[in-house]
Amino acid sequence: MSGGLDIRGLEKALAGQPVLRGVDLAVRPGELVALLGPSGAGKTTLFRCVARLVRPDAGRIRLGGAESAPDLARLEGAALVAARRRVGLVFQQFNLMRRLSALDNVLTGRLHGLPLWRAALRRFPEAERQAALAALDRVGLLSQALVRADRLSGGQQQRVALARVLVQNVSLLLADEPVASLDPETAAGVLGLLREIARERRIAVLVSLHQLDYARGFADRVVGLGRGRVLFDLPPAGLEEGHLRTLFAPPAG
Amino acid sequence: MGWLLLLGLAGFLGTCLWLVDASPARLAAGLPRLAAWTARGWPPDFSEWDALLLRAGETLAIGTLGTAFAGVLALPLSILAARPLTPSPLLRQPVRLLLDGLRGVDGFVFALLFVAAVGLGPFAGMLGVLLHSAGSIAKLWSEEIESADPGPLEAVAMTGAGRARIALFAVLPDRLPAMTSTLLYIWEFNVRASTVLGVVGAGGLGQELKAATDLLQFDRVFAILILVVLLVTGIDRLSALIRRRLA
Repeated sequence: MSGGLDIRGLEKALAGQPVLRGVDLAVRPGELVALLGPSGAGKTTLFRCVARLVRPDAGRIRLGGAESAPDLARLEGAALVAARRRVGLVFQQFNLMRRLSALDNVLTGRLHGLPLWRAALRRFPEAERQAALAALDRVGLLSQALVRADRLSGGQQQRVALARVLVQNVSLLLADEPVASLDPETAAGVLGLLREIARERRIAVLVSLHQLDYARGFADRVVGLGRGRVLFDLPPAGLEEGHLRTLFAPPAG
Repeated sequence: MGWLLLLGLAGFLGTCLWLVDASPARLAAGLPRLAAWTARGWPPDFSEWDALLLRAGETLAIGTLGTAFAGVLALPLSILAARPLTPSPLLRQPVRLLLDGLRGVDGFVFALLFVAAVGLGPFAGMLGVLLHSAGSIAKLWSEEIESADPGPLEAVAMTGAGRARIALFAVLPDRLPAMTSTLLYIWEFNVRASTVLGVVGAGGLGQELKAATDLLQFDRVFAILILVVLLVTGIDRLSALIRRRLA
């Protein structure tokens, strides 16, 4: 499968202030790219543009690599909804429906296309339930399938969110600070799982992080985003003190 | 500024006093009468206990069915009125206007109209309760849906499912305990309100109450009031118990 994510010249202003000033970024299938940058660098805005929760002002976003692939930045209406299904988003706060079971939360990844009466009666076809259980098994939570989401630990909740993305059969996974609310050991577990999923499913994974150690330990490439631009794009081994100083330096003038 | 405000408030309250035609002298004259009646009310007359119990049952039925049917009516209305779930913001405003209208007219007034339309009795009472509380329930439910954390909703929306599926599978089940608690609260309120619906001929204990006061049978009035208090506090306790379990 060819594909991945290809962003060119992405620009976005919020309340008149430019936040993204021409971002170029590519993530290949099976690759985990860490997005590093100080808060306010535009990481979340970049994610929200790619997930099309907001509309970019300029630039293009291609999923699937080929020049013929539709430009996600320009899609609207039903075509946008359909294209968005191929994009999974994982959040810092996990964002599960708190009173639903882990299994039901995973099943929401398959909710589109389900007949309305089945949604109302909560009766998913057996094949869909099996797929959801398999996804929970993959993230190591099969035994917790029927536990309410708010009874799970933070790391477990993030794993359920990952399983939800898995059953959605995405080709791109965006994770916005997915481990910022987790302790170091749990965080490493979740990031390891993200990397495995990228490899197994040939999914392009873009993860924003604010800790260098995690980026070094788990990413195939590290992209530095500062003041709305890509400042460097390197393999983790190539990362040096100087790069980080540029990234986290106070804005000049 | 503060003085002016205080002066304005005093003027407003004074006007209100004049409007209600408040008269301490009349209160002083009336109190002994009330005391005499109360004295005549003892011992309470439960001789027709079977008729009274039937009326109490009617009151309970009016409040319960009125609330249940109102809930059925309120569910689609609350979805249309809730910002994250409504299929169109253009639809949301007229629906909210309708809900405010239903809430604005008391169940008592609706019952009065229904007595004229479908005749005397508890059926008219139930319809009145239903119409008024459908507005209240839908309004409260839509607010409960709107107060839900937007993050999980955004996450579910990202799966590309439509609003109807999201509402049915994810949002309503997640909000169900809060919504049930609201419904129970309205139920308590409606059983209490149904005790007086009989005054306009809409069935229940109120009907006996009106007949007894009209005939100055104060021992019977006393018996009815005891039943009202027992019924209302019983329902309040039961509802509070269930609501605690839901929390």
